[in-house]
Amino acid sequence: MLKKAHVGAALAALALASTMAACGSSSSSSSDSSSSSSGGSKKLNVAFVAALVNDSYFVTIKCGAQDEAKTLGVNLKWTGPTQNDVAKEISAFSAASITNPDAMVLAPFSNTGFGGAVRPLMKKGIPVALSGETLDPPDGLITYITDFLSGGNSLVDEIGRLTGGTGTMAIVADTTGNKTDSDRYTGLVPLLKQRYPNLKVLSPQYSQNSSARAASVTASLIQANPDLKLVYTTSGPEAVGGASAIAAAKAGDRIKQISFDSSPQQITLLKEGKLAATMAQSPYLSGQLSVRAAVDYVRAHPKGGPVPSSARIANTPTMLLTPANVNTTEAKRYQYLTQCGGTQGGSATS
Amino acid sequence: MSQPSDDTPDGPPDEHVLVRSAPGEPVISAHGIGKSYGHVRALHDVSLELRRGEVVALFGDNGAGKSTLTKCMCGVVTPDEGHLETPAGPIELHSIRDAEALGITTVHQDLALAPDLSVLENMFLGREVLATDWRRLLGVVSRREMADRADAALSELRINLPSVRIPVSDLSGGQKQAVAVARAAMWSNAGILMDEPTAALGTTQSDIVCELIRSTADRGLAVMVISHDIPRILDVADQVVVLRHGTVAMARPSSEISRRDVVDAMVGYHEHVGGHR
Amino acid sequence: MSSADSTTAAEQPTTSSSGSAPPALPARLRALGSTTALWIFVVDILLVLLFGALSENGSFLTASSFRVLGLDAAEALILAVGISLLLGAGEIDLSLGAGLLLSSVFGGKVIIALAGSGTAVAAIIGLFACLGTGAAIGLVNGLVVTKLRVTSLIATLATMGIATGIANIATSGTDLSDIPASLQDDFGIRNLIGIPLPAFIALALWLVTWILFRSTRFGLRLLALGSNRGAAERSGLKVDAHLIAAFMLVGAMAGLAGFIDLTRFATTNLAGHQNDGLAAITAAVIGGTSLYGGRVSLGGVLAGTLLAVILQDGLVVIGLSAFYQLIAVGVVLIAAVNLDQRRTPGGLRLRLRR
Repeated sequence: MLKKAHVGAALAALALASTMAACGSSSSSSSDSSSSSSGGSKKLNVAFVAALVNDSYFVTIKCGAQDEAKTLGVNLKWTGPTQNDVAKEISAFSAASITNPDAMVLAPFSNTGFGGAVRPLMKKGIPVALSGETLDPPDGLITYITDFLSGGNSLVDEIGRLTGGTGTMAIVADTTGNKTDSDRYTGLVPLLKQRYPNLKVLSPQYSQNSSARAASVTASLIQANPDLKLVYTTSGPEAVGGASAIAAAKAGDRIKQISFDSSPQQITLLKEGKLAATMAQSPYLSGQLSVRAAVDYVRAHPKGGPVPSSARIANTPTMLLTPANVNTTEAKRYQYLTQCGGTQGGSATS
Repeated sequence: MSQPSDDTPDGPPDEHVLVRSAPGEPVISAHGIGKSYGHVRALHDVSLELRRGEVVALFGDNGAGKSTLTKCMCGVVTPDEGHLETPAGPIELHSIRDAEALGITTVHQDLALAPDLSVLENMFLGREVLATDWRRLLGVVSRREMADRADAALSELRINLPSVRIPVSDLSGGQKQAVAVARAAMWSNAGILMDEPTAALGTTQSDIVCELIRSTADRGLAVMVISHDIPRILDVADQVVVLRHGTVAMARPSSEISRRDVVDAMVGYHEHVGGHR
Repeated sequence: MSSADSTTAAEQPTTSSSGSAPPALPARLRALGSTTALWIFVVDILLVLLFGALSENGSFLTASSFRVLGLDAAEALILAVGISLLLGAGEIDLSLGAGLLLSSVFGGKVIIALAGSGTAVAAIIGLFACLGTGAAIGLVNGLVVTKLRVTSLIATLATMGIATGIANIATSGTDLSDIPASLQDDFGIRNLIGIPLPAFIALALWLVTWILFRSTRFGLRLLALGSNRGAAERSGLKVDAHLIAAFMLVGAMAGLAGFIDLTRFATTNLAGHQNDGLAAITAAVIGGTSLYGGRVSLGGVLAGTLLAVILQDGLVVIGLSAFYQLIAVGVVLIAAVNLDQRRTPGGLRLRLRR
């Protein structure tokens, strides 16, 4: 009997936990004390929902968004899940939308699943700008997204340079069903096949955002493929795991690693020579621009009314960071932040 | 490695000699015990005495107060009225530990055995024997020493088990009961209280446990048995106490009464006792 | 059940045992762990051979491949060994992954702060910071379970969230950088006589815990707590003190795993340890440790942990695509446990009794 009660409690607890996790980590940020110089009599409220709040990419977006909110004289509420989980981000978005924001910004984890939550808001006159990922269908106001095409081309060049167009290349990705992650390799593979037909590209392996899993996958790939020349890891934790596995196998001479993003760990790996190159995005700019677009729309339409959805895309720039250029001033602007506080401030120039 | 050092009282000395003094010497006695739970009077003016070498059978219907009396005598419950006495004088028991310090142990109806532990581990639970060398500092137990002593205690009561190292869950119901009794006997030097020792057992096993009760008393311990199993326990008992509505309805030597007398006393015909004989 | 038994104490045909007689065969098997553990080991070996045959040039059967397995298994084994302590005592700890994470965060911060005074000093103090953080979480778990009377499932679920939250707050949600890379070479990915150092440590901890359960009073009492809490109480055991000690010990083990994680990757992994606790429980239970307390199989803990790691690595080595790996893992798990159920009627009987 006791045991039964135990199981019942277990289920209840798990259900409770998933609910709690979904609405966890909401923290209001921008300083309410800052003077509301611009705008009307009432300060606008902007809610920003990120895909993963404990990740330096999103921390950097947050910094950009916060700085822009301060400049524009609006309040910014920052929220999002602490786990890679679309469902949790959708819950977080819904929760944020019922706090009656004047505008919202969404950095979606996936291009699907958010429409049902976004469309009613747009109809009510609350613009939803997008950062980092498009929605399908395009239900938002505008999308600021990394220029994967030009980024991809410079990655392809670098891969060709590192491998000579032969041998085997592995991909260690984050999770399945994660469009922001798969954008980083799905377009790349056909380009590689076209340019370097003799380079064998293995199907992606997934790390579930865990460095340990990424290390184990990389180590196994090294075991299985004697002619492995390159490991492409799609974000920070994977790069950390990949570097550890290559070092443990003492294979740093023959196996190079490239990656995506420029978290502090990846910058460290670059400087240590454990990473041959990494593709940096501009999350700070993306955060700035998406907040600005949402606020501008509200201010331009004081009477409200439905917000027209649009497939408009604005590309944000990328830069391929390498050990050679990592210390340049330009490269520094592309390095992700661990906390806000100005080193990248004012880089929004568009 | 951190370990809570809750050394329990060492219990009886290493050599557990079961016959400590002359049979018939009183071990503990209750005098005018009363206990109420709110408005419900569970016990009123109950007196009885446990003597070495004697089996006292405590009979009574459900709710007659058997359990409350046992709890008073093993320290779980403190009586509202009356007092307990040992040959050394009046005493108060506030916990099972207190009773155990007087050499009185209890075999609970649920036996209080850990099914996953071995027989010897159960018999020494809370009183483990540590190794004598440096390993003592690490809390390493001496299984051999414990096995020897468990074997000795079991054979003293003529209990045969395949091994003291098998888990209790592999034993039959009667064997489990035997282990619980042997454990109680091992850490007792005065008396054992047994709560429904045959309730969960079949016929053959119940008979074995009755023999065990007898042999425990024959080794010089006082034994009190609470039971519904009147015919069987009557056979091994020296004294019979029947409780009814929280008071003593009958207290006589078993040699003087029949099963019928017990039942009559339990249901309230005690005024006829003697008339039938 | 008992009334159906025909043999009785007196009728038992066997002779009375004496202390010097060798224990019966079942007892010997128990000493090894359990038959479940043996069968999972068999599955482990079969899988290694299978992956060896399927991998190119048998690359799965090489020393370097085993080193990879050992390194991957180290953290998982430490957590599984830890959870076995609590499962044995009839409790559970879901906060292990979060404990690992928070320990690595605090330990990492200590190491970064002390990096100036030499890597060795920083590492040693960092190790103690990790162990201390883990033990502190364990202390909280233990106090909540024993003093506030919250079941361990809920209590540790709650502390899991709390610890993860603190880890994120302490780092502002970004993984630590600036941890000296030399720590990796000196510790996290270092080999000692050809065996990864973390694997050594994990095995040593496994052995110590095995002895703890086999031979020490503390281990016996933990099992008694898990087997029959009421009986343990009535035997005079200080239940709360034992449980708190167990929770702290397990927490410290999570801290040790956190230190290994830190030195293996020279950073933390904020979003990467959510499943660690559950994986540890799974490994222990597959190997024959009871979820309900009282029965622990350290052999099974090792075999179960290896099963997970062998599957994880082997399926990649043979080049199975990631989506098929999920299916393969599920199939092997069911097959492995089912094989054990068929082979040992005891396993089935014990479960029914429960």
